[in-house]
This record gives sequence, C-alpha cells and structure tokens, in this order.
Amino acid sequence: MSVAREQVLEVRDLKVHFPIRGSFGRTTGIVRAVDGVSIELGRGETLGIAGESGCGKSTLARAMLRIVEPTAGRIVVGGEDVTAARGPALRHLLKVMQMVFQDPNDSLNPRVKVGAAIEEALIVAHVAPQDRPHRVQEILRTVGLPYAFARRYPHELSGGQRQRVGIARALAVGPQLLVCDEPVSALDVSVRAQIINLFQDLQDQLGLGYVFISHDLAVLRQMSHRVAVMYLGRVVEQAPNQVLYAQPLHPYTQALLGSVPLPSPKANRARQRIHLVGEVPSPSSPPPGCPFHPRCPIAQDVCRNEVPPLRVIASGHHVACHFAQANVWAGGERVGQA
Amino acid sequence: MARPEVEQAILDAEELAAVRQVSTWRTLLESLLHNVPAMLSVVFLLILVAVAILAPYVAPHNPLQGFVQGLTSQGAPVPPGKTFLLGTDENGRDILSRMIYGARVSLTIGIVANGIAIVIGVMVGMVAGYFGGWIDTLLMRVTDVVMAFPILLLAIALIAVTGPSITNIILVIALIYWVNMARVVHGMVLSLKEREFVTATRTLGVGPWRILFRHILPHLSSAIIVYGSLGVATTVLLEASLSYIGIGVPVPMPSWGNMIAEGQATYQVAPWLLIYPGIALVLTVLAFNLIGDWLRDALDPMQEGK
Amino acid sequence: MCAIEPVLQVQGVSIEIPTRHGTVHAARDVDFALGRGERLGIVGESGSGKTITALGIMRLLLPPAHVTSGRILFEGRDVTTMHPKDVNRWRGNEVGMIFQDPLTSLNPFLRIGIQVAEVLEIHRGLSRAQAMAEAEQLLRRVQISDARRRLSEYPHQLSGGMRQRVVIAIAMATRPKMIIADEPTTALDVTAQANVLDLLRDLTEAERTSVVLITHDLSVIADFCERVLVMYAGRIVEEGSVDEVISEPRHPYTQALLNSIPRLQGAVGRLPSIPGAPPDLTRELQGCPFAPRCPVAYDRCRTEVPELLEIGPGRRAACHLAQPIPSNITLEGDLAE
Repeated sequence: MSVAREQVLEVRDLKVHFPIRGSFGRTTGIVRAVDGVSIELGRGETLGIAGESGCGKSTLARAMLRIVEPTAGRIVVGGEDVTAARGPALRHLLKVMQMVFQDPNDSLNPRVKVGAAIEEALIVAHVAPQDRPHRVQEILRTVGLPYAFARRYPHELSGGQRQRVGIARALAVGPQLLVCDEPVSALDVSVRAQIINLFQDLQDQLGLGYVFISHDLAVLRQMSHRVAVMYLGRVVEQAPNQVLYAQPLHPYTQALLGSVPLPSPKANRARQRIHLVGEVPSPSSPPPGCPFHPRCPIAQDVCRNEVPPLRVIASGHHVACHFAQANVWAGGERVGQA
Repeated sequence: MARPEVEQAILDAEELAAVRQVSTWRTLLESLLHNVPAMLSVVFLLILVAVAILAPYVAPHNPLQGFVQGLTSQGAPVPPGKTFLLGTDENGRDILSRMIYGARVSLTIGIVANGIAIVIGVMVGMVAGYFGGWIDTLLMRVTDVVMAFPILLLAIALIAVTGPSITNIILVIALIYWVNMARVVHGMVLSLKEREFVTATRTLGVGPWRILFRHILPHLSSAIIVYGSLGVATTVLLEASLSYIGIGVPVPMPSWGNMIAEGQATYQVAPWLLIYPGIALVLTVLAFNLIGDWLRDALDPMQEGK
Repeated sequence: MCAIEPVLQVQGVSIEIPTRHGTVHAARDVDFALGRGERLGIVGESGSGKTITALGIMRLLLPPAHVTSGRILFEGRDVTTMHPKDVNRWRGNEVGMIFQDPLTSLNPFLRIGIQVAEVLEIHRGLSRAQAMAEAEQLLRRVQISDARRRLSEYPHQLSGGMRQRVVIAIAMATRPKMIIADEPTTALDVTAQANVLDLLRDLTEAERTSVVLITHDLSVIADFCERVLVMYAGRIVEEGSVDEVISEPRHPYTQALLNSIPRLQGAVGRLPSIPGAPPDLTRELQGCPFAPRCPVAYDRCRTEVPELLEIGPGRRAACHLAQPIPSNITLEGDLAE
C-alpha cells in the first residue's frame, strides 16, 4: 500500500467533557471522556484505536461524527474544519465520514427492512428514485449479500449478515472514511474473520480510510497500518503496526498485549504476563501525574506527580511514559506456534 | 435466574432452522382464540358496530316517534313486550330503536373524539420527547395544566361556552383526552431516541421528521393501539356522563347517556328505561377494556418483531 | 487428564425444539464425561448446540425444547429423571452457573450484598448477619477491592468485569462440585477477560471444582481448559486434550476455527475464514454436516455421516479423514450465503 497519503482526517487536541449534574441541575463535576487527543488519517489508511472500556475511544468516535459535541479542539475532514459545522456543512461531513456501530442488533431498526434502510441513506445522498433499487443491489453485492435480502427484516439475518447490512448502509452515502466502533467484537470468531476480510476488500476496492476501534489488539494487528492506544481519555502510545507489536514501550500497551489469549496453550503458559490489577479510574477524578500509575508495574515517584507528555521516540512512534526507553518488551507469542 | 439465556439459545437454534416469516396478524389471531373474554368482546363490538351502521334497517321503529300504543291508558311507559321488545319511554318511543340509534351516536363520539385525541397526543408527545429543550418544557407544562383540572368540570365549562352539539362534544373530549396519550408517547420517545438505531440513522444525515415518522412511530404502534382501545371506553363513558347531566347530546336525539338520564326519574315504576341503556353502556366499556388488556399482552412480546 | 472419577456423565443426549418450520435438532447424541477438578471447554459457532446442551444438562430447557433421549448422570444420579424439587436443590447446592451477561443473572434492584447473602442463607442456612460477613469474605476472594462498600452498591455501579466477578462469587458461594460457564468473558475487554479467567481458574483449582466453559473462541479455551469438545451442527466433532487438539487438529472444522483467529505474531495475511454458513438444523443428516464448507470433503462425506470414533488415547473425531490434517491448508473464499 502507498506510503505518502493525502490526509483525509485530522483531529487536533480534541476534548469531550461531560458535566455531572447533581440535584437541581447544578454541575458537581466533569467527566473528561476525551482529554486532548490528536490523530490523523490518510486516504486508504487504517488507524487502529485500542483501549479498555471507559478509555474514551467510543466517545472519540462519536465526537468525530458530531454525535456528541466536542468541548475543545479541532476536527478537520478533507481540509474542512467541521468542529462546529451545522446544517449543510454537517451533512457534507456525514457524506465524507460514516460510522459502523458495534452491535448490529441495536443499530438497525427492527421495524425497517434491509432494502429500506439502505435506500434511506441513498435518499440522503440525493440518489434519484429510479436509480435506487439498482444501487441497493450494487451495495448489497459489495458487502457480499444477495439482493433477495433487501426484503428481509434484521431479525431474519444472522449476526454476521446484520453487520454486513450495517456496513452497506454506511457505504451507501459514498464516504471516504469509516469510523468503526468495535464492529467485530459482538461476532463469533469464524464470522469475525469474514467481516475483517470484507473490511480489507472494501479498502482495496474503494480506497476507504478506517478509524477502527477495538479492545482486541490481535484484531487491530490484522486490520491496521497504525495503532493508537488510549487510556483515560488520552493516547498513551501510537506507532506503526510492525513497531507497536514488536516493540511496545508503554507498560499499558504491554499489559494489553499480555491479556490477549493466544490460540496456543503452550504460548499462553510461557509468555510474560503483566496483570493489570484494579479498575480503570473514573474519568471524573483521574489520578494525579501519569493516569496509569495506580495500575502500573514500574511506576516511580515521578509518575505520581508529573504527567508524562506524548514524546516522539522514533519516527512515528509516540509514547507518553517517563520510562519509555528503559521499558523493553520481553513478552509476546514467542514460544511454539508461529 | 437464567430465563433470557434459555430463550436466546432457542432463538439461536431457530434462527438457523429457517428464515422466520413471523406473521403478526396470524400470531395475534392465535392469541385471540386462547382469550375467551377478549374474543367475546370482539364479537360483541363487531355486532354492535354493524347494528349501529345498519340502524335504519335494523331498528324496528322510528326512534323519535312517540307511538299511541306505546303508552298505557294512564299515559305510562309500556313494559317490554311483543310490539316493543324492550318497552317504551314516557313519550311512547321504542327503547330498543332509541338504543340502536344511540349506539351510533355514542360510538361515533367515542371513536372520533378518541381518534383526534390520539393524533394530537402522539404528535405532542413525539415532538416534545424527541426535540427536548424548551419545546419539551412548554408542551409538557401544557399537558400538566390540562391534567390538573378535574375532567368533568373542565368539560362542563368548555361546553357551557361552546354550546352542546355533537361536534362540540367530540372536540371538547378530544381536547381533554390527548394529554394521556401525550404522556405515554413522550416517555416512550425519550427512551427510543437513545436507541442505537436512532443514533445510526441520525449519523446518516436523516432529518428529524423522517426519523420520527419512519423510525420512532412504528415502535409506538402497539402502545397506541392498546391505549386507543382503552381510550374509547373512557370516551364513551365521558360522553354518557355529559349527556346524563344534560349538556351532552341534545334531546331528542338519543344517546345512551341521555337515555339513562331520562330513565332515572321513573326507574321505580319503569326500570327498563334505565336498565337496558345502562347494560349496553357497561358491556361496551367492558368490551373495549378487555380488548385493550388483551392487545397489551399480545403485542408486548412481539414489540421487536420476535 | 482422563476422567478417572467422573462428576458428570452425558450419555447420548439429544435435544429437539419443535418449531413452526420443523423440528430443530439442537443437539444430536452428545456423549462425554467430566472428571473431578477438570476444566472442559466446549467450542463452536452460535447455533452449534453448545449452549443448549449445557441448558439440557442443567434441566433449564424451556418448552418446546426438550431432551428426547439419553441420560445425564451427576455423581451417578440421573438428572433427567430427577423430581423438579430435587433439581432445584441440586442446581442450587452442587452446580454453579455463570452466563455471558452478568446483568441478566444479577437483580438490578437489589444491593450486591443482599444478592450474595441470599444464596448463603438459602443454601447454607446462615443467618443474615453471618451471611453478610461471609459475603464480604467472598467478594474479597474474587478480588473486589473495597468489598465492604461494594456490598451496599447496586449492579449498575460496578464495571462489567467486577459484575462478572460478583456472579462468580455467587456461583462459588455454595462450594459447588461443578461450574457451567457460558461465554463468561465474551462481553468483557481482553484485560477483564484475563482477570476473570485467572480468578476462575484459581478458585476452582483450590476447591477441585469441575468447570465446563462454553465459548466460540478457541483462544479462551487454549488459555483456560485442559480438555476440549468441538461442536458443529449439534454434534461433537472432535474431542481431546487442549494441547493435542490445538497443535494437531483432526477435524477440518477445528482447523478452520483455529485458522480464523487473528494472531499477535507472524506475517499478517488474509485471514482464512470458513466459507458459507452453518447448516439448517431441521434437516436430517445426509452425510457430514460440515461437508459443504469443508476444503477436503470427498464423495463419501456427502453420503455417509461420519461417526465420532476413538482415534487415540482420549481423542475422538467425527471425520472420514480423521488423520492429521496438514496445517497449510487454507480455506478461502468467503460469502455469507
């Protein structure tokens, strides 16, 4: 795949804060769901975003599509600042960038047939009525479904087929960029492989860019060109795929990698496993210093007091850890099983 | 403890078994056959509606005409007998014929007034619930105010101003009863608009009105049907109450309410004046309530098309 | 690893669900044993019959689903003929259950402490005060920090991982002899998954509790179980120790499942997915149910149902070609039909 890419998405220092309302509507606190995230994406590129639930990855996705309002920062899509776009500008944004949701059970209206759901997107995209049946057929074929499925209701489809419909609907407006929020985590392993392949085929055919969100680093390795790891509303490590999986530097990334179960009992027993104890702290009262320090196996005094900035370690490799250079990874799937 | 899981497993198994073409109508009909009270109610109401529509052909006499043979030599109402199946009133008019024409009036008012109330209520509830903000506050305050009034007093006051006529009664009843529907719909829309499929549709760039009518309204349909059938019962009762206190359907046009009111004066000597319209009213209200209950149970599990 | 002292013996169990579209054969002639302290995995796609088999074992099937044949022996007692009252006592005292969504097994309106204590009161006859003290101990054992405070919280105040640990605490409260866990970590993050699996392993190892873990993910089985059953279309198609089944799968379906898992190492290529979809379970079997999706199927597979045969010590497979399958076979082409 090409290296020098035309940039389609740029997010600068994005913040999404939600006020916590107490009695009588007074603001009693702030949830910093996304707290200063910067990412960019080129045409035909996939950026993986990893992290546990509560790390802000879903809020980030929703803010980019303006489903939730960003508090601060900038979102530039195709050269246009859409951070505060309204009316026609917002509709234009939604034509360039679309979303695939996690659970197709929830994101498809159970009362609307597959064909009608896709047609609705075509109406928004101003496709003439006489062209729509043909386009529905074409889009269904693109995602690997027969035209007969247009007459079915979502509950008459399997989980994998439903997610194909979710993808078809997003594609119908002709976007350049898909934001995919855990699109395969509700699926069986065997179906998951089919959908991952579909995403890759679509990228090859249509030159789509993906922001691909998942808690599963193995899925992201399969899908992404670059991966950003989020913790408590911030990116703590970002690197090209080959680099991140070979040489993860942030202890959180290492812990995430160590948590992925491997399809090999021997490798599971043999590998280094950093156990993350405790829970993700509440984004309404993040710990002082490095947000990861309460769960970090190598935390020092400096981590409790100073927030580590996101530093460039090597070309394209950014890490927010005071001990990034010293923290060499010795885990992974080293034993048996290639 | 594990019931949802069990069901899911079966659904999964069924999912593979065949593409399920669940016919809502067929399932509904099947459940009706297992619910004897509801089935009797449906039969009763079908007959009632047919009789009301065919009143000129079904009624044995002219409902407005006082018959000479309809009064005894002392000028008292004739008890039920061969000529007048359910007897006559103090003007010598046939009770049965008056009840048949009265069904027309009562059912028309019940269904039309309730229909208008549903349309207003659904619209207000949807708009307030979906758009939120000041529109929500404004519309819901209005419903609060309407709800705070005693219904009968409000109706009396409005009719005192507008004058009694069938059109005015329909409008007054509709203007009072839409609030119930608005409340129900408002609550449902508040939760529906948080559903992922609404977010997904919004993300496509689909406008709010299309989302309301194409995506949210179908999810309200079973609630509308249930509350609608229960609403007919209350509306028929309110019409009867208004007619009973003399500000409803203007005499001599018969409605069950004014028949009961007229029969009240003589119920000790001629109880049939009061009893038969009373029975008709009770049975009709009961039937609509039973059907409403049945629909609520029958439509609930099918809510999401499973 | 061989079941010397079986806790559970499932003998030729078939489960059918009559539906409008015909009878679904959800489980066909399922046959296995579970040893004391053993961790057994059951793996398969949704609709493979793995969950329904577990529900059948627990006597939790809802009509119209029912067991049509076979016996289920728990420590020698036949569960299928047990009186419903005894079934309840057996389930409460000797078996623990953990399901995918902890929110369906926890009551959203009751405080955590009461839900844990209730089990102890009913099944261990403790007083409320004793039960509460014991509940706090149990929450500590499942590594819930600040256990005393959590007792008075409601399920929605806990994270997904914590909720599942509460469910484990409840399941382990009666010191059961067997735990059935149906996709216990599928709704969780990888980090919470790793913690829950480790916790479940530590607890059950300490008490010599047998575990049946049901999942669609062979990696979870590789991480947690000692022995595995692979199910397809309601039948067991392969059985063996996890080490052997994963390093040397003898059924093409097992191989295909393994291939479709994204890896953390090695070259990133196209993921080999399994083409097609699982078969219609209302049909009678005519040949191997996997044959239409199988890359190595031949004439015999389409006409003759392969029996589940012993192919080595503790290993069984239902494949006419039950010999080691070269792992370089790739299954290509993917279309959901």
